[in-house]
Amino acid sequence: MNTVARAMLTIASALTLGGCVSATIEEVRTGPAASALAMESPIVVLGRRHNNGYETESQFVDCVGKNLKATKVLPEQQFVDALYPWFEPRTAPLGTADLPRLFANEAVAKRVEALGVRYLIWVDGVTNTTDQAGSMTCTISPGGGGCFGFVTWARDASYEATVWDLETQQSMGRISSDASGTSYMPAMVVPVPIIARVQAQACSGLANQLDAFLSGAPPEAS
Amino acid sequence: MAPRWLSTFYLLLACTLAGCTTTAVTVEATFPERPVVQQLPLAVSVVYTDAFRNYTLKESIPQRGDWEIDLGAAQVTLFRAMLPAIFTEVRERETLAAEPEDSPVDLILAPELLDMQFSIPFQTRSNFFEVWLKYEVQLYEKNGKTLVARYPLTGYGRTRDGFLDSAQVAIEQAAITALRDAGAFFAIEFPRNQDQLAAARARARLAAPAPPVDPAPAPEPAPTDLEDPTI
Repeated sequence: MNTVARAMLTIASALTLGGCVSATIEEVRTGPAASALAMESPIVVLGRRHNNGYETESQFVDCVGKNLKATKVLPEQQFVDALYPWFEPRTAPLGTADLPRLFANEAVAKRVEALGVRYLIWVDGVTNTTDQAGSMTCTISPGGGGCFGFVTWARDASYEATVWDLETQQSMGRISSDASGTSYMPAMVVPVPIIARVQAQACSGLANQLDAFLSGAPPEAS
Repeated sequence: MAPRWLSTFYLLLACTLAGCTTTAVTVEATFPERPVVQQLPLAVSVVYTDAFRNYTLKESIPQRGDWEIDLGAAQVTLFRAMLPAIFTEVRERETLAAEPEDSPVDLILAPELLDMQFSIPFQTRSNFFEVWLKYEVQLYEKNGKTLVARYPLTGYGRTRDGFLDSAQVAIEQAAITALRDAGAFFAIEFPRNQDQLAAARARARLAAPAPPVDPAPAPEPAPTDLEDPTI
């Protein structure tokens, strides 16, 4: 096997290897499931960004929206722009108790009606690196280069989605998605990353459960 | 051919000088054209001074070089997008002056950026680039002399430190978020303060000098601070 083929094989192996991820999904239903008719209207997935120490990542919110299959999803920025200034981090309603006051504003109610949005999903949470260890040294010289060492890090993703029905102005329920996993990167000349796709797992788990939640299916065991 | 030690020296010199570079950020933004707010039955004239239009923050951060953030055009864009939704008519001026007698303008607004601050993850040990804005919108009667009120306005924005994003992009995005935040606060809270504004105008009128019977200049009336614009 020549050098190029060996390098290609190493890269392919690295791409296919994945670290272990453990995920937990929990669901609390506080209102009736969405009707089939209501599911024809678009929904919006919004990220919470008012917290001091963290803000829900935009790419995670996008990921959840793209993975929802049950209904059409309106892009977050389009919704926030259409309802400016009412859904900025400082002005967005924090609970369903704020909705009557918001919808008392006729202009807001009309704009939401024009968009046709019935359900709103708030996603709150963050992915953190909880632990890291090891070291790696890379050198480059006229004769070539390489890395040697071993690095490991653990990540924890914890998110909660709250579903609001804008018509009844009530919360329909909450779904939490937690995932954690450890990634490794051994290096013997070439680093081989074995990545635990923690955030992606939390995203797909949350989106699948939201699909089931909105369609009224019973919660899946996780 | 230069000796190897000389090449190494130049390389080290280049790396050292890299810390002294200037990071220039020009904030370019578009804002939602028609904010969903209650329109007031008021026509206003807005004064965008040269200092406001061309505002640039220059700051030096130890070990991270000099920073220049050009916010002038973006903040004018924000006010141009926001004010027509709040007021029935908006006119623009470059300096504060009296409106003509037949002008429909009720009030003159003179926004001023009192302070702008920013931080980078290196300084705060956090994952965020942050921007703070502190405005004051001065409200004048159409004579351009009677100061009715000073309306405080703040904005805050932050952006997560992305692995592939440059610092320029992160600071620009944080500044846009801060501008949106300030605009949102003004658009929601200003219409809610109409009783306070009417009272402030009445006080300013009472304190204003009588018609020019006596040519001696009268003292300027004390303006009202709408310190807590929330109701």
